[in-house]
Amino acid sequence: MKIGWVIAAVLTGIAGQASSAGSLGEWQISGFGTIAGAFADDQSIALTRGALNKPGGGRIDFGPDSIVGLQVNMPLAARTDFTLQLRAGEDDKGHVEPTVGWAFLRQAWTPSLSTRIGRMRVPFFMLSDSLQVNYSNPWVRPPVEVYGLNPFNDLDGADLLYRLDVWGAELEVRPYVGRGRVEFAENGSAQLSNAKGINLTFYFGPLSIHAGHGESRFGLQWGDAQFKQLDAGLQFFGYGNVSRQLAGRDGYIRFDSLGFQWDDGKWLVSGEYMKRRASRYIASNHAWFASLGYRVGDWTPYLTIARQFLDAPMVDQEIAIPGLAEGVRAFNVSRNDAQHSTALGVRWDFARSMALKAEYSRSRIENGAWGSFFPTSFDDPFALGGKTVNVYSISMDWVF
Amino acid sequence: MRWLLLSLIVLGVGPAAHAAPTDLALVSGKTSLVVEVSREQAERLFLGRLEALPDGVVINPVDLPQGPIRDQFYLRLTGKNPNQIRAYWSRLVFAGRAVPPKQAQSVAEVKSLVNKFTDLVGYIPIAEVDNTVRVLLRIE
Repeated sequence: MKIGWVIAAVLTGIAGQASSAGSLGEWQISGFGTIAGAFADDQSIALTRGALNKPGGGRIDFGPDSIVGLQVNMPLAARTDFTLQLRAGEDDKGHVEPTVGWAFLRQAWTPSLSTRIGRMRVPFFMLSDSLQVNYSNPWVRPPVEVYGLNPFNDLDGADLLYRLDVWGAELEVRPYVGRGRVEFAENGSAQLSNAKGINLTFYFGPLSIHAGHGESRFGLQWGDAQFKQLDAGLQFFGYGNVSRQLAGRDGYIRFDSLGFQWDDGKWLVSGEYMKRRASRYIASNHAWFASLGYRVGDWTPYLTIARQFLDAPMVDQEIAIPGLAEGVRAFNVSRNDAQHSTALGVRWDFARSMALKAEYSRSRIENGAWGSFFPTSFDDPFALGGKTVNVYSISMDWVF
Repeated sequence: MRWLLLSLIVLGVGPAAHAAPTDLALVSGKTSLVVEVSREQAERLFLGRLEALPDGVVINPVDLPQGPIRDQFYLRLTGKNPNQIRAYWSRLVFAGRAVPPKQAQSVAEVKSLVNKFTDLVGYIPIAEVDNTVRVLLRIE
């Protein structure tokens, strides 16, 4: 955060002195935002989006989807510019504080090749780059079954964008490297280090096809009392190997995704399949979504189905001590997001650059999972599995 | 929350207007280095996916304000309707991929800007074409 302001201040000075022969040279300021409320018909649970906002306890939760963002683009030289994006949405503690979303220096080397260095978004999935810009998507929120699989927002590193023509279509090749960090409630945190990957995007008229692979060293720490108690128990009874599967700094994680988007002005069709393989600390999963929308004037009704599967739980070892076994089972369940859902909604572009959306979704949480929800009480961590939850959401999105 | 609501009020809400079709021309300045642009290049330019022509000449788009002429231009050139193009550009801009086009306040300002900056390409109604601009393409 502080670094972002320092960079901005320094660049203000540079930009003030820069003169440009081209049309660029002026700052471009743009912004986006969403105010949204979601209501789940089951008062024993709360909705989460990407596991980063604080689960709401109230009847209507404004936390999961509401966000504001402000972006400034500062040209520094003919082919060099700096982009800074500040975002404010609810974090895991329920606070709303601005964070630096983008802060990168871009250099265009040739018309088809550019590099960026600085803070970017972790680009593991098809819609990662614009995940929080709800105006750009038809839905109230991107399918949580797929997009909840990556809790990381930021990638501090570098990437390269190369565009070339292939078979009359445009192909964009984007390798990247970097590191990332995310904080959880009660002093928990996760780290990506030596992250690397490549994304390929084909643009062919109304169709774009995305394929991506990313992998990284991965660390995860929990700071809550339940975890500390469980960890101490495992150590005490000689299950140190299980303890090392729950948290530490020696994990490795891989993401693969394949998706497409079709938008011919009338039909909006998209789908994505993704797979997450983790060596430890989190479960291995695969997930997909398919979405169909149809524009009728300013109205776009849509239908989305999505499903997340558990491929391998975090801990699959038998524990002989009953109380400890229960603790590990609860830990597994609370980190299992498997569920499937159907969402029916409508987007209304009621004014220029503003959209209202209403959505009804029905989610079925898999047995032994929490799905995209969080219990409001920890008395029975196994109570969520098998539940069907209806969620009603309304959002207003805008850009300027 | 308060400033959030305030920003909404400041943003204002304007209904979309619809007008009779007008033939449009893609134009650069008389002394511009941009002398030839194909339809496909123009489409990529206004979709934020072209920064220079194959010969290396830097090229940048200039938009008219939100309104019927702009809507028609994008619909004819890119096939995208106004709601679609705004969603598309918002994704591009906030994904850090492209800077939104410079925006002129009027057709007269487009004509003056393309002459002031040699990299700019804009669009104006054919009826407004005069000897201060070079027509690169007709968008009908």
